[in-house]
Amino acid sequence: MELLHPIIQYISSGFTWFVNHAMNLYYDIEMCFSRNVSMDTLLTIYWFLFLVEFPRYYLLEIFLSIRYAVLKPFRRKLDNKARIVLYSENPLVSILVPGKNEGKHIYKLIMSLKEQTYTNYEIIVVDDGSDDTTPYICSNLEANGFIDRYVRINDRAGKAGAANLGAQFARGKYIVHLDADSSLDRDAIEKILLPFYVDNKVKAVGGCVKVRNSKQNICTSLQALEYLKTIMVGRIVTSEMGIYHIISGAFGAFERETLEKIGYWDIGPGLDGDITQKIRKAGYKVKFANEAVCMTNVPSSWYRLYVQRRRWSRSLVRFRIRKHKDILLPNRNFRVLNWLSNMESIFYDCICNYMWFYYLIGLLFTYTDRLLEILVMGWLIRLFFAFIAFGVIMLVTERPKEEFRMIKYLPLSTFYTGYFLRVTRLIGYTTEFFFFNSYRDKWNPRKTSIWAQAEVN
Amino acid sequence: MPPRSYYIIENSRKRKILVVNRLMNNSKIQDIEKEDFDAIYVDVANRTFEETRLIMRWLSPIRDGKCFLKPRFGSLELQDFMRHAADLFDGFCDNPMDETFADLIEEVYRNIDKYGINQELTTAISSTSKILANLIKFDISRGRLVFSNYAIKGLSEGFSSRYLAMYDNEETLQLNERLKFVHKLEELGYAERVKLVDRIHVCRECGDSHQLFVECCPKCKSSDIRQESMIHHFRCANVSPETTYFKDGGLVCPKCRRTLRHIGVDYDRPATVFSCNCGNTFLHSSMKVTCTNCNNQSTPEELNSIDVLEYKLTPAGIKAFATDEAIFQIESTDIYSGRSTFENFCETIKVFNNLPSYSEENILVFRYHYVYNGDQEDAQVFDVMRNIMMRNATVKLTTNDNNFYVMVVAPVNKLESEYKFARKSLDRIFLELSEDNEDFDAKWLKTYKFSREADPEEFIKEIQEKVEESTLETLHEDSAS
Repeated sequence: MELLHPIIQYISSGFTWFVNHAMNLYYDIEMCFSRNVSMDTLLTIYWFLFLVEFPRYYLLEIFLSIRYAVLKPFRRKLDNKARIVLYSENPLVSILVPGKNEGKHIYKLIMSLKEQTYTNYEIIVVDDGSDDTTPYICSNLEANGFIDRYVRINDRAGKAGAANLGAQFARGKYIVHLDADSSLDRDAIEKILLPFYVDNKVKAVGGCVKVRNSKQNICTSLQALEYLKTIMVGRIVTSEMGIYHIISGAFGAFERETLEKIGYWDIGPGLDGDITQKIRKAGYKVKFANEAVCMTNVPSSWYRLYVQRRRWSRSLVRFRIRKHKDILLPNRNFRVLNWLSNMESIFYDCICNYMWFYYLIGLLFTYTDRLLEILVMGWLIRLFFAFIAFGVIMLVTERPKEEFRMIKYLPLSTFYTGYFLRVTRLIGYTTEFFFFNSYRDKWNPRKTSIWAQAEVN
Repeated sequence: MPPRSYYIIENSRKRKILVVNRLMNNSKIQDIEKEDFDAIYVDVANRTFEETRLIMRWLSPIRDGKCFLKPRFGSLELQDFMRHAADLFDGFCDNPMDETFADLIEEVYRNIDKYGINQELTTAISSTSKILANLIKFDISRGRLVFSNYAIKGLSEGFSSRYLAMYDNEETLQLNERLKFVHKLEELGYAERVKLVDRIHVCRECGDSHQLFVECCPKCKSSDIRQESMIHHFRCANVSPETTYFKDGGLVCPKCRRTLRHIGVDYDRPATVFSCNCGNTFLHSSMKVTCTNCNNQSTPEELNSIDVLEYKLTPAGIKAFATDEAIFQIESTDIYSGRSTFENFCETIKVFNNLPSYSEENILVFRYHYVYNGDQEDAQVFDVMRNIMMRNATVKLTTNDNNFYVMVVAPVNKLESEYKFARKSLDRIFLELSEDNEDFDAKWLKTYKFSREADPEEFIKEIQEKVEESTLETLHEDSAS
């Protein structure tokens, strides 16, 4: 008994110690929240979140997504009518696949095309100076009738040149532009053609790009989540507002006649955004087809992702601010929707990014001592918003069951979209503004980028 | 009295040389015997093509018994005339007393002694194997033990070791016959492969190597196609056909209206494109192949490929050919197609049952009766045979008592289709010939079938039996129905 006594004492004192510490932590957290949670302080600290991000990325998206979901039966009816017209007309569709060293992906792509519900199509593969086995693979596929036309460029011409050469061979009424490393849902071609028949002013339709290698690693999983939010929901919203401004290069459909009028593709990088702008400027409507799903592989390493996003950011400056600045200016061709579409992209993607940087610096200096708690608090608020955004995704997506598993990445997504992508974009915009880096991008062969450079100097 | 067409002189080594200077039919001249001369010198100048060719035929070293294997030189004028067949001369010199000629004569006789070559013409059942066997003996006597093939202009097989067409006025040596012959040599160990000379492509219908390769549109097969290059303007990435850039004699981009000045700097030509009258544009034109002999249309992939090989005689082969043993070995196990005498034709039927490689096949004999009122019967018969041989490479044919006999060997299970095919083709040939020539008329009499169980003697009797006139139907009526 005497031996037991000190042991019991030790245990009880340990317990008291633990309870005391837990209470202390709780008090600290309570202090922190009671100091910050008042509306006043929240607004001063998180003004960027509440005044800039919230109205655009949450309020507007929630409202339009709900509207989109509610109007689904109505849209379904229109789609059904359009489908009847589409199949009774049964136009030839030219599927254009330009790319370099993509031989290994072509067969998979063809197999997904063979499964299509819409069957009246021809496949044109343009090989932009590949230096691997692509020519052999493609010639063989052509000889065996898997692809209708294989066009080979010996001296690399760049993506625009390759696409334009392929377009010369297209005989279809519509041209569907595909990336070689993508594959399509069974009904994707049919779904991407429907908007042309719903509204005959629509001359170009963008497909919904999703991530195929989402389970590869955390980097691709986060991108999959991001694609759902920015590409699927984001483009549904812009399309509903009539300011849809980028048809993904990976999957887009165009009326051939219209492409001919606007002179097909211009030099990239960012030629997909550029051609969308050109079509809008020519006075045609552009639509987003949420249900036409294309799966594509995304970069699986952070560095390659960084390079890709930096290129995307540069093209925003290059095309929206430089090349198509006339959209922003009052002239004879001025259209409010075009102005809005360009301005939305410039303001939210570019200007806000600089504001965020300014806000972050301000935060660092003003609340140096409370930085950690502010960041944790901010993360909690963003996480809450992220759950709302995820709800919106689930509301509009056509495959909620498969995509629900993404929910576990929500806590991490704040760091990815909130910090990684912002810093990347910041670097992209800044270097493009001052150093015109996109005109020297290795993405284009030297012989063409030299001319792009000459244009700005 | 006309000047003599030949005379015999003796050279420095006491060899007697027959000098021929006019058209002559050596084998019919009684006063020259085989032993009267050792070598031949042909001194023909300023003769017509036909005349010279006849001289060559009559003096043929592989056809004529008296001239067989004898060394021969020609005058220098002949060299041009002989062209591909120049191999059949041992050399050319300006007079028969030439020393190189004398040396060669000695060498040939040394070879004949060394290999023990039988100086008689080899007799054989089929014309093909006869010619080939004699040719091989001729080669051995010249010390040539390797027989290679060369591409030869004008020969339907494309490749041949000798241009025999020149001598025989027909392409006696059908390609598949020759292949069969050399394969047999290989099988019997008489010859061995040295190397592959070339792999050539021949028509799959008639085996002719004279094919026309024509570039055409992959869709409509028309060869009315134009080639045009695409221009890629770097500055605006416009890519379109060259003609869209033509403006005022210069190149102006149709998209951005800028002038193109320097290839490689502001534009290049990434591809050339074909366009067809049917509206199709394509990067790679197709190829269609037309056979000049039978007009069969095909693609290059459909042609039959044939290996042209170089062979070398083995010591066993040299011995077998020198003693004429080879030809018995070769012919006793196979049927050779081509023209033959009626006796040889019957001989083939007799041995047919003993040939193991034909255990699954039957013989069909087509009998055609012909009437000829002209005075050149031999030439007419020859013409008919040549026509048949040109279109049906694998038949064996002969004539007997105003009848043509055409033998077709067909697998038992394909008898019906082979019969129809051969009948149709033969009827067409005879019909065409009788339409061309007023004096000639031919009728199909009967088709006989010989299977392995039947008695060959009875069958031979049967095919010679007279057929009642009343059962005859003329070709004209037959083809009309």
